[in-house]
Formats: sequence, C-alpha cells, structure tokens
Amino acid sequence: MDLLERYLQAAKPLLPRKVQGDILRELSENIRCQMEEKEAELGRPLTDAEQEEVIKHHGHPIVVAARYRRPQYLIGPAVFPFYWLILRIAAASALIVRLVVEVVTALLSPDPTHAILPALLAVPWVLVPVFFWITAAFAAFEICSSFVSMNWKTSWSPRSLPVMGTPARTVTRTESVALIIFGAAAIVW
Amino acid sequence: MPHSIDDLFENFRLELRRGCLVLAVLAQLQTEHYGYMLRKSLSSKGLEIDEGTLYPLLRRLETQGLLVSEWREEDRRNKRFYRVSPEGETILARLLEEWRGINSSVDRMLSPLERMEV
Repeated sequence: MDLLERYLQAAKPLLPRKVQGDILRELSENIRCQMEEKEAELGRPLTDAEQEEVIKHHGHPIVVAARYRRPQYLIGPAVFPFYWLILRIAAASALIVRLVVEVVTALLSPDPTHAILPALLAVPWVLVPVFFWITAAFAAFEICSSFVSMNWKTSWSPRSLPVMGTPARTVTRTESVALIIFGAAAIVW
Repeated sequence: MPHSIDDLFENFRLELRRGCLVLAVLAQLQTEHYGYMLRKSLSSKGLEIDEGTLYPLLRRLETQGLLVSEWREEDRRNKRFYRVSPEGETILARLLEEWRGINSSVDRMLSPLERMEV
C-alpha cells in the first residue's frame, strides 16, 4: 500500500485545505475497495505492478486534485477581449511615450552619444508596470463582479447600441487612447 | 488550430456526456451508494465513468446541496455513503423532463431522414 500512500501524499498539497483530509480519506477508501476486490477475484495479494495499474487509472495527482477545485481564472472569457484590446493600446502608447521621453532626455543630456543607448534599452521596461496594473485592474473587476451581481450582461438593450454610421466607436477609442496615454505618462514620470 | 475529426468528436462527446453523467448519478443515488460501489453499479448498467471524474462530481453535487452523505462503517471499514437530497430529487425530475424533450425533438428531426435511408 506504499504506492497508494505516495499517491495520496502527492495530491494532498493541491487540494483545498479545509476538505483535504476528508477527500483523501474517501479516495483512499475507494482505491482500497477496488484493490481488495481485485485481490478477492485473483485469490492472492496484488503485485506492485497491479497496484500501480489501479492507481494509475485514477489519473495524475495534479489532474485529480484540480478536479476537486472550482475552475480558477484571473480574467474570464467575457472580459478577456476587452482586456486584450486595452492591454495592446496601453502597451503601444506607453512604448511611444517612453521612447520620446527617453530620446529627448538623452539628447538634452551633456553627452548624447553615450546616453542614447542606455536610454533606448530602458524603453521596453515600461511594459512591466503597464502589464501589471492593467492585469491587476481587470482581475479586481473580475473578482468584484463575481461577488456583486453585475447586471450589465442582462440589462442591455439593442436600442442602447451605437447608431450605424455614427463615429461612436472611434470617439470612444480615441478617448480611451488619450486616457491611456495620460495614464502611461503618469507611470513614466 | 486544425483539429482532427477524432479530436473534435471527443470534445463533443465529452460535452454531451457531462450533463448526462449528472443525470445518471442523481438517478442511481436514489438508493444509497459509496463511491466505488456507485461506479460499479453505473458500469453494470452500461455507463462507464472514470474514478477521476466521478468522485469529484459527487463532492460538487454535495456542495451544491443535491446529495447528502455520511461516513458509516460497512464490513469493518469506514465509507462515505451518498444519497440524493430532496433538492436533488427536484432537479433530477426537471432534468429528466428536459432530457426527454431534447431526445424526442432530435428523434422527430431524424425520423424523416431515416425513413429515406430505409
């Protein structure tokens, strides 16, 4: 039964802590029942290989433990396309703003030829805080919307959608781009 | 991403089975079973279900209040016995109605075709 103990031990830290003892007790009991039944059928104790087969059929400890949890995600499928759009706009804007700022600062420094390379190398680092803050904000939104009943998915009406031919979409996009450029500038400074 | 026809079939099959398994488990747990015994009795009626799917499903249905369970001794061993709760009975009845409705709709759609093939 050493293999079974090892199997249970591997699954243990991956299970929700409150119920992990209970789940393992039940799992262990079910596997033992199955093994004992097989032993009774064969009229002899199971070999290591046979035990291994029974346990293996239950699945990898990581997979099994994951099935006992609810699906976990940071940003759900409904919000993800919006998150992805904002992230791309913000990343592009932040890169441009940072590039301009770094180049201008380098050119104005006493020794522009030596200052320009480190300045350019510093530019991509702006992506780290952009990625962090946008992801954090969307994750927070996702968590909040699972606690508070959000009615934006059900309380909409086709009448509230933008009228065909009006530049509603471009306006909102320009607005959000402007907002993000200011946000990115704030991060840069 | 290109999918082989077998992968696609497998995905659809799992999707189709998922709801049916809940139905089967609720139906079978109108009499009390523990995990391994339930798996055997489902399989003896022709429905094979992996341990790794069945045991977590029992937990989830219990958390949702559709099953009740208790640890009890049988054959000098402690086992966790599950049984459908009154809420589970209600859900089972409604799901069965839904399932039969879908079945008969699909049958009505298929029957002209089958007649043509014959």
